[in-house]
Amino acid sequence: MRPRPFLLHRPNTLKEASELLYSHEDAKPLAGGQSLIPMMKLRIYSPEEIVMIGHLPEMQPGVKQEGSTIVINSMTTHDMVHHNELISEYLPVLSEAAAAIADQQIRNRGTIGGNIAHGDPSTNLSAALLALDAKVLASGKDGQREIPIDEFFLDLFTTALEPGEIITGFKVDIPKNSRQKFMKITRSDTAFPLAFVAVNIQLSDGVVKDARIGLGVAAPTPIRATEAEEYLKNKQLNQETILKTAEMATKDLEPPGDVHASPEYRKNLLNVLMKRCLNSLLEEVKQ
Amino acid sequence: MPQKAELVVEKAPETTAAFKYMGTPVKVAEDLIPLQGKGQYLDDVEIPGTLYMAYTLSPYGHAKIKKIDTSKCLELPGVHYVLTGEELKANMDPYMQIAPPPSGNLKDYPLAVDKVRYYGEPVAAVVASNAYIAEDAAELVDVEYEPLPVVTDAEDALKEGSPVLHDSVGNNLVWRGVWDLGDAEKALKEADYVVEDTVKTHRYAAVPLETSGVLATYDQSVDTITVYSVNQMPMFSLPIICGALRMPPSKFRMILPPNVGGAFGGKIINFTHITVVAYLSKLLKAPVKYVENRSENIMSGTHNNERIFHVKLAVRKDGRVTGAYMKAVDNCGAYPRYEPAGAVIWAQVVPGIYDVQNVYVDFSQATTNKGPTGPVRGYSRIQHNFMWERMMNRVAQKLNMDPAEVRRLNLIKAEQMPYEGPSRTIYDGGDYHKAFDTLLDTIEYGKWREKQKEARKQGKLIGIGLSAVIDSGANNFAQVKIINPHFPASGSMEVGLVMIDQFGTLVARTGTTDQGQSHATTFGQIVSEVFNTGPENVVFQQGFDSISNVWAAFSGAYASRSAVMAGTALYYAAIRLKEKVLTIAAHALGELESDLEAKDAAVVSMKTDKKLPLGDIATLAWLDVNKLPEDMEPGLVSYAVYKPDFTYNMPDEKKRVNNTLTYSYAIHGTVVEVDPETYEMKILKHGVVSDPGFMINPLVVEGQEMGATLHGISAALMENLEYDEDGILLTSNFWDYLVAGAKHMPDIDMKTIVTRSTSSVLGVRGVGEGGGGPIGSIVNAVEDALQPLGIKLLSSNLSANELYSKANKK
Repeated sequence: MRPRPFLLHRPNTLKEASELLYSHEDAKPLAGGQSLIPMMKLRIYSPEEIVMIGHLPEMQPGVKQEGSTIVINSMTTHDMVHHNELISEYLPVLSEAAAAIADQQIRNRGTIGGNIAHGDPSTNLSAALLALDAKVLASGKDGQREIPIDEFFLDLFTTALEPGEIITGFKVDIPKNSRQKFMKITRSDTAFPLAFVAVNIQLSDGVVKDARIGLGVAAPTPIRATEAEEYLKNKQLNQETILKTAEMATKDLEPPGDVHASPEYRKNLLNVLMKRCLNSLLEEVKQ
Repeated sequence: MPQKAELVVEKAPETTAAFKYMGTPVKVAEDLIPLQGKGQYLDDVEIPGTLYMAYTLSPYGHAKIKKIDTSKCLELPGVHYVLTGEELKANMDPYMQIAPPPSGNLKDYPLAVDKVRYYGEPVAAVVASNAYIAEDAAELVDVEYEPLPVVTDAEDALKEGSPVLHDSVGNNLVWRGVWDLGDAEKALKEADYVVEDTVKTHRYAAVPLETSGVLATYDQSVDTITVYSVNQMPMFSLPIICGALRMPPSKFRMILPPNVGGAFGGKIINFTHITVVAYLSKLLKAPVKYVENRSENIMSGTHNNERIFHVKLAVRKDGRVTGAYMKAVDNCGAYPRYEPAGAVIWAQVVPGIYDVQNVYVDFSQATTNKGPTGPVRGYSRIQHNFMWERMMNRVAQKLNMDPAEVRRLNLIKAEQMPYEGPSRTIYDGGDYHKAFDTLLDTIEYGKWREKQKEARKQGKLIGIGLSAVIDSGANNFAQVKIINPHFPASGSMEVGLVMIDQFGTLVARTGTTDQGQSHATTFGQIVSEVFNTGPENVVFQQGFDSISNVWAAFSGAYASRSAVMAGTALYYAAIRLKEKVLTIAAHALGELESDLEAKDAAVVSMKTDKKLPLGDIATLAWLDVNKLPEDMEPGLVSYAVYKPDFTYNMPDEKKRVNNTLTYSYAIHGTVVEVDPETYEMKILKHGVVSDPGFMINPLVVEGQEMGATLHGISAALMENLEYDEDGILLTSNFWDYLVAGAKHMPDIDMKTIVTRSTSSVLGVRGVGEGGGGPIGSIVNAVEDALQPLGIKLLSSNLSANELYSKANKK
């Protein structure tokens, strides 16, 4: 339960960090260590070099509003995302997703940047940020760029980050008339989750104007239920459309199986969660 | 030390009202130590120059070791040594086996020799200058394997043509025994109904917060190895280790640190680690340390007995069970290291909690390609209790009766106490009906049955489950003679030492080691009681040391024995010491002993009110010794070894023996709701009513019962050691092996009814293992909830995934 030997870098600037990561192919950035440290201790994954980034000024925890956009810095911990007032007010699906990550100790250490950079389909925040149409702020040796979250997740543990690029934060436009919900099923807080769903719908007079749905542990990457989103547009939210949406969101899924959930069971859970999320939003609207 | 040939001790007073210090919920001071991070655990023991050991583990369930190449490993800077099974085999004997030949011919070494037999089996031990290098180096040991066919199921392992684990045995049978008690065949013939079913218990682990560990040092000047370990029964394990290493026990000093972070049975078969580390420390003439990592602990720390029962119950049409006939097969895993003791330990609870005198059990135990089994909280009785509780529900279903009614009808009655079971276990008092009815009230059984009807109309799945279990404690080692009449142990004993130091403080020690059971507070209360003085005047010295502390060969905290055994030994030792104190005081005060009493750290004359503090008596006894009565030995030390009488002390030809001294019992009731879409199970209510006998400290007893309840909930709903068909353990870390924590604990409605034990001196019963009560009540409740779907459950572990698959198979 001890990691293999590795070389630890502590760069002074973001630029230095990017250059280190670019020039050392096997180097990995370390933020809160939520995923990397356990993998290294189990010797599942053993990078030869580690670049510490958590101390860099550009990354420091922080959430701010810039006009109609919320900007969240990379090192913002899950606990901070959970309790931040701006996020609770405008992006409740993100707050709920952060609250449902593991246990308090892990929420105190784990960061939003690390959660997304890991490229793991079982990270809560990935589904929430997909539902919110977030932009990933990446900084590399050639400067800054914004990557739409839809284009970010390429394959299992593989993202659109170029060599040397580091996530410095996220931008999310505040959705209008939005109703959001995150739901998750897990056997134990610290176990691999069984399934989760993040929903963000824009409603006008009970009619869905726009919908974004993020699904967790449903495929090799975090994914959206685009077909279901399309279907839901301009529909009245009711039992019939909810059932149909859940059906469309999950019918073609081939989720992974493990000791705690077969692919079929996981698919069923995604379907149930989809229904429950929408039903809970319908209840909200009625009140 | 002054020893009287015979102990003449007044029986403890009959009512708790007669006690001043015992029986009160004294706050547990030692709880603060680990909570504040001040505990001294094994890994906190540091000796300069220590080398660290790590294992290379088998990635196969069953494979031939063709070649081990250690050259790369030895090249790594910092590596001192690599030990393989071959070297051990040349320098030690295989461990003694409990079972007689042919399975007694089994050759068991702490490192694999010739082949590996389970996933995670240690193949090589690497010693390096620090733990990091040791783990790196362990990966560099190059082992060439040839995979062999795997058998993981115990019934398959006993079939003709199964892969054989141990060639020296010839087949996979560890031991088979038949108990033919009363006349079960006749009962079946005469029965109105025969209720038949198969019941399975699953495999899970002890998972203590602190894993096992060893630190050994070798003293060349006296050729002695000092072993720091967390072994639960150090002096019982020692002959096993010494026998293997061909060294006399006196050349081993066994030490346990003051704090051990839980054990639950899982720190007994860790003698394999002790052997390897002790061997290496002597070979390298250096201190060597090894602490299991969590995966190692889960893979091979100690698994519990996985068992399958094929049962037939003889039932009268009124619901009375008149006999039980069963075949049981136990999965031992790859090596019997305390087994096949589990193949007789279940017999502590032959009829469960029920009045059934005709029982036939054909019990076999088999080796398989899974991790070694051994004692895990409720060792071997959990399985048997679970079988009874599942079968009682089957009886209720067959007769269309309420499962509560079937149980009430069959419970042993208070007027039958003490109850002699068909195998001569003596259930030591209690009122099972009162406890059972109290439980029904506690969980509002009737009300929930009504609610259940309503819920079902609305498509909700609510179920109610009951489970009534015996939790036997303080074992009689003679039961192992059922397996092997030459097994060199019988009965039980524990030692207590009480002394008064030069300043008058009472000091107590025993041979058992606290693993979180609050020994200091509990045992302090016993000494306080005898000396009629506050706990501030008593110091309990914790930690085991075979050189400087007291021990008996059976010493240890296991089998729910500490309060019953060590408590009694201390009680006796304290009474002996008080006699001497009163004699000295009488001499010093010039009064009659019969006019004196011990009170508030002094001796007081009831006649003259004269008072002599214990400090003054200590001065006389230890220093101013010419003032002592003429023929008195100086010093204030008293020592007692308590050896209980089990009445039926040795097994007879029908395997009948009183297996343990006390038999506490607990009734559990669970109300669950199963989500009809996700099949998640939620406990809506859980009640426990137990009878621990007289409680020395009710807070401590409550903590034990709570812990056992959570352990049972965890076993039923979470913990499962799942192997695939190749013998690979799929749940070897906390990502996959799920353990319930405080957050998973539902509110527990816990009540105790107290009847004194008729067989223990203080009236206490051993508690803490809990008999696995919640496992039965939860599985019964979930099956009850799923009744509208017609789903039948088989195993003691439930997952929503499995329920979903059952529901969608139909």
